Amino acid sequence: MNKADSKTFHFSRLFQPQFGLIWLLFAMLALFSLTSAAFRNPDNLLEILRASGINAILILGLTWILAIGELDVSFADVAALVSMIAAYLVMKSGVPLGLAIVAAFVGGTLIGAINGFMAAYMKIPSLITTIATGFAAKAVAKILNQGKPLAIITNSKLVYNFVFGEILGIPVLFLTALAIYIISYFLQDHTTMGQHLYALGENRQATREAGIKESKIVFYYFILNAAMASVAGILVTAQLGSGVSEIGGGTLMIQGFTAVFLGALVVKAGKHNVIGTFIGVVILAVLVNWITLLGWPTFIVWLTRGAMLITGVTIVTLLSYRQRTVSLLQVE
Amino acid sequence: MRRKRKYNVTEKKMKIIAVETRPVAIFFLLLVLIIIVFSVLHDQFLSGRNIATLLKHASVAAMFALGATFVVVVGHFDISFPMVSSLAGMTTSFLIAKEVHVMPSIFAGLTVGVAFGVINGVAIGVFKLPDIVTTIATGAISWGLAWIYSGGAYIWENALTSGILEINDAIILGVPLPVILMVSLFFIGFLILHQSRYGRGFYATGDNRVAAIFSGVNAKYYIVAAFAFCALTTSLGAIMSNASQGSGSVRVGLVFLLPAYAPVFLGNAVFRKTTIYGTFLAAMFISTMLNGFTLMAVPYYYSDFIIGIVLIVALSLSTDIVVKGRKAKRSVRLPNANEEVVS
Repeated sequence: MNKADSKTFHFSRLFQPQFGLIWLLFAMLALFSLTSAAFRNPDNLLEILRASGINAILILGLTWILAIGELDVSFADVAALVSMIAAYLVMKSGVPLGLAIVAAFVGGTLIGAINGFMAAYMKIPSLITTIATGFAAKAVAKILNQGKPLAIITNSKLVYNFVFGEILGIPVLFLTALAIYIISYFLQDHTTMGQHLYALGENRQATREAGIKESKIVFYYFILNAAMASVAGILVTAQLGSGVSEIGGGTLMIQGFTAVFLGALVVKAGKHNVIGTFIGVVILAVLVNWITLLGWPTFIVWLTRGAMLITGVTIVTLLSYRQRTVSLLQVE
Repeated sequence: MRRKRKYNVTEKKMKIIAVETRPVAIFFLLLVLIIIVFSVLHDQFLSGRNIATLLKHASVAAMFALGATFVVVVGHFDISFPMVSSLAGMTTSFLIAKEVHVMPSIFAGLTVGVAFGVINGVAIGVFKLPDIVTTIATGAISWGLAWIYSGGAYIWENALTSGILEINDAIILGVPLPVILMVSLFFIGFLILHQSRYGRGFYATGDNRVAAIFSGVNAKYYIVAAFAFCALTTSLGAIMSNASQGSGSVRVGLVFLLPAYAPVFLGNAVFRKTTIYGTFLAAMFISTMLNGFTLMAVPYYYSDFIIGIVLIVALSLSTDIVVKGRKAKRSVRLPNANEEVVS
């Protein structure tokens, strides 16, 4: 216990179980690159980074929503709504691209504000409200263009350069996601914001009685979550060149939850944290890419994802039981 | 003095009763209002044919809602049933395409669905895994399995000749068979949940698991039973939905996540408790509205928006802030993602 808590760096710490998933990622990368020429092709690796960049931005907020013990299943639909609003404003209303993006971002964030208000102040279980707002958001996205995708044809390179640009051969998108995650890591582990985050997740009642305005914090996290999802929605729109009312065929939600729960296995065993989420996103992207390259049918992706998610949940549950037993023993 | 106090007490009681019944009264008023508005707007709304269509469409969504009711009553949540029911529907369609008789095909589909329900129940009730994430995972697995039969394509072979369409279109004493099936399932659910001691077990498990266990209620079995029942009714709903479409689709159940939970929580908001009759009335309310909008030629993709808004408004109006002018308390008890169940 002391060894794990000490701030001094020991080389042996890298081989503790909470870093197992990182080694798994390295092993996967090594194995796939050695066996498949298509996989180690630089273009393919860049594609993986680009895909994981968008997904990482999408589920940053979800990580913290889950950490405070709430739930949000609407984030994928918020991204779709933002995508369709931006496309609609540019193509049907003739609004300039920049203004359309801002308007779409505000629209997506508004959904987060509704979710947050219902969860924080009206005390309605967040799962129900987010199912309702998520379906409503998806419906609005479909209403905007009768359920069809809407291609954006514009000369503006505003977001295009951001999505497809590269610095030193690495996609800008991935670097931005990495930067956001490093900032959020410091917020999470080295500020009172992070302290409040995990305090809320541990014991809501105790947090309130300690004088922390828990409702306000919950409200802000829901807004943050929707804002990150909105940014991801705009990036997806730029990547595809069109607004879509169903991103990833409706699979984005499960993808996000899988990544966050895999992430809870890393760094802080049993707790949702941003570094873990990032690693989870990359692992899933690598895995999906490899399965696609092998030419295996789509359902293999689903089966693997489901199997990984349930394995992750089982291990997290077991770890949290063990942690609780250990702390009980220490109290005695 | 004494008399006056007594009078006050009764007045207070009356007031409480009035507050509790207010949502129910508003609900029925709204239902009547909707029926009047639509029958004025469209002359076909109250015709026998339209009512039969309405009930037939309502029966699939209502079956999904019935399953969800049981899971919510035991204090859990199931996100896997849209995918599990799709798997069940695909299994049935696949067997029918392979020229298996209708009844065994339906039975096999239901068995597959219930198997996943039992897996969910055991994982959550016995091994105490968090419900939402576990059901997302089992849902992903079952949806992956649903793709195996045809690689995601529609299965329509033999659907016309096998007799499954006749089952869906059968009319007994002027009532469509799916409606009879739905009403009888609801009646069975009503008997179990409100007229038997097992119903008390379901509610006790959901309200306070520790107290339930100490009172001799075997909470694990009730959780497994609730998830299995949910899988059973939703699988049947998916099979019926496939039958009315004339082909098996991998996406059949996916659209039913909101239509299943909306009646449950609308019923909860109205009756201040998750009940079978609340779910039934709310399902009829939503279906009446959707049917009216369909008659008015509102496109299909508006329906999720309408249901979502109705649910959000109903939930907001039923919170303690609005009803009792008091600070909000959690009216529906559902576990958090991080909540650990002690037993």
